[in-house]
Amino acid sequence: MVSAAIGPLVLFATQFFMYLALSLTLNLEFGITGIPNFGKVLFVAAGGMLGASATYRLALFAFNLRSNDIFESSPLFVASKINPGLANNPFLAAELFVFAVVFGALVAGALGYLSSYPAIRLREDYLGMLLLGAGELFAVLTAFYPPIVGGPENLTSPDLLTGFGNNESLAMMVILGVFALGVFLYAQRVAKSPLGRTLRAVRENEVASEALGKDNINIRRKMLVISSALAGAIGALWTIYWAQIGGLIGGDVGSTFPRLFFTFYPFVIVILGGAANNYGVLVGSFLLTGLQTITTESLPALVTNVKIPGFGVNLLDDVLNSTQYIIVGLLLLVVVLWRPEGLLREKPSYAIPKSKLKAMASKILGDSDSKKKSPGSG
Amino acid sequence: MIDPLLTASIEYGGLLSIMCLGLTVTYQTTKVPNFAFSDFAVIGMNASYFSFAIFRLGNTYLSIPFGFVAGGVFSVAMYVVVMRPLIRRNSSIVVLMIATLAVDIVFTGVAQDIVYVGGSIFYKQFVHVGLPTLVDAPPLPDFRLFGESGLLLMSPLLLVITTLSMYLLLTKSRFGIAMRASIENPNLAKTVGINVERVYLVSWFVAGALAGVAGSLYTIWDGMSLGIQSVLILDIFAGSVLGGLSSIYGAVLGGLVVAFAENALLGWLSLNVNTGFSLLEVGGASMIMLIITLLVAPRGIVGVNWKRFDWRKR
Repeated sequence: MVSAAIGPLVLFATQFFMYLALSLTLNLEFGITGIPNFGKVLFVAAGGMLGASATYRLALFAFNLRSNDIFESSPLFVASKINPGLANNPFLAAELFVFAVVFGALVAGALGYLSSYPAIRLREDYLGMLLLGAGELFAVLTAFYPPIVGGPENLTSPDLLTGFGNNESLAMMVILGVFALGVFLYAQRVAKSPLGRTLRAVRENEVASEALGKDNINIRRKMLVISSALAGAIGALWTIYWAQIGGLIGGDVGSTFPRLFFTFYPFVIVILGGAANNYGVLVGSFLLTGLQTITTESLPALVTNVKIPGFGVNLLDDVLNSTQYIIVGLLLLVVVLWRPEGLLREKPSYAIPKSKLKAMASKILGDSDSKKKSPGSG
Repeated sequence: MIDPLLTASIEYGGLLSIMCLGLTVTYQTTKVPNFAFSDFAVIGMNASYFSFAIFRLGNTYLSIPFGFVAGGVFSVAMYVVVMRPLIRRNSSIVVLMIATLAVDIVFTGVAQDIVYVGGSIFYKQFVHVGLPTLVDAPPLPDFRLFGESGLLLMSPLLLVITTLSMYLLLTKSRFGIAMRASIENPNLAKTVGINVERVYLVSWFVAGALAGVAGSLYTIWDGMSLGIQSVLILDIFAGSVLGGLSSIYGAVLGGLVVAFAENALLGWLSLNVNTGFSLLEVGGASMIMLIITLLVAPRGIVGVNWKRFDWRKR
């Protein structure tokens, strides 16, 4: 069992890593390539929900349960049949864990490929509305069409980290941290590579990049597929994690993966920290997670016993919760209005490393200087 | 007695079309899909509830002016504080969209705080009119007319009044001509001496005020619940895109189509084919229509050349 002292810290770190990884994928497509993906939640939810439900079916199959048990009885009841079996067989659980993440990534990547069709053709504002609509449609369909994940209340995941015993939340933090680190290294590598410069060229000037022989459509499609697949893997990880700490998720349309937290907040993070700057995304994720933790965890815990005479019971609690939105929104507005480039500016990526650049420049300039001088002296 | 599916479609269609009309006006002027638009409707709903309780109006329709003013004021505030500086700076569409997103997040919190704090401050007044809590507020009272709800008359009536006055404003008044000129070509309009920014300001006020009125009507239709704006915006977008985002008449038509599809069509399908269809009512049907419209006919139903499909001429 994680001790009470570091419990909140683990919670904070887990959330931070999730936001970091998710915002980095958004940065890849929005910051660097210039695709405003207002339907980010679609890929996270698709990876999470379909990854979780596919894992569930596999687990049912492994324990010889009927596959429609998931829909006929409460998932917690089914989990009570699966989880003890998994506890005896942690390797099977680990395999299922890997399967859930990979399957989530594949499903989300396929959806990314599908959504690249309109993403290439429509103008930004229409694309924004379309992706937003697609995300909402997915939320409605999964919530109301039971054969997908069993309806709104039934999304859960078997206990896949059972091998870690009482340290599951700690293990999940480490796994998400490693995943976020991997995404960060990948995003850094993309940003500094020739591919990154091509992506920026596509973002800045389509015509020019096409004139230079770049296949704009293919480049955009690839980035959309890659970042969607990563988002799907994050969704699967988040579902497994959330199922452990919260039991059931959902209960209402879009409450499993709310648009606000999985589309809008990553945008806030990317804009706040600085678009197309991975370190900026790091800072932004830290600030936003901190803000969220303070307004929803720390301050309500402080004021939980404060009652104002004549007012409702949980007035301060509720007000603090909605104040979170006001602060986040104002922060985004302030950045957009007064510092559009974000806290950390986008750094140019050099084709030749800076260290070598100086030596080369002095060599070339030195040569040209001597050439210039030679006619004068001669 | 009229079929309840039909009455629901008409009641909701009227108020949804008013909102689609408003969104189209803002899209026309500033060329940005306003994610925060449904928040003006929520502000109108709040204005309705508070004026109803505080001034003991008795008749809910008397609260519509409050919704009109509140929605308009918030809309103008958003335009002056956020949109105008960004437009002056020639910001890209994506930046403008993100700004409206930010305003949406702020208004979500503001509306919730109004409900929590205001509901607590005016607790006695709300209890007096039978509304102990505003968190999931029940619909406000409506009058009856020949055994039908008053909204069945008032919602389409207000839609007709709105559309007519928009038509008169745009075609018969000097201001309307200035407005159309600034929509068509802002730079040319500036050179002939039209104050384009003032035109935009007034358009935003009108749009927000219309959303406020629709919000007031919505309190009679379905009450008010926290977070209703995130569902409403889907229907508004669907209706406006279906109408092509280019003409106010298209917006009215689009709003009506969405409302009828959600209420009458899905209601009929769930009664006669499969009960599962009723579950698409919350956002599902409108999103399907939005996606299909954007993929097949991005200019909306008004932009399609229908004569092409006329088989009689051949």
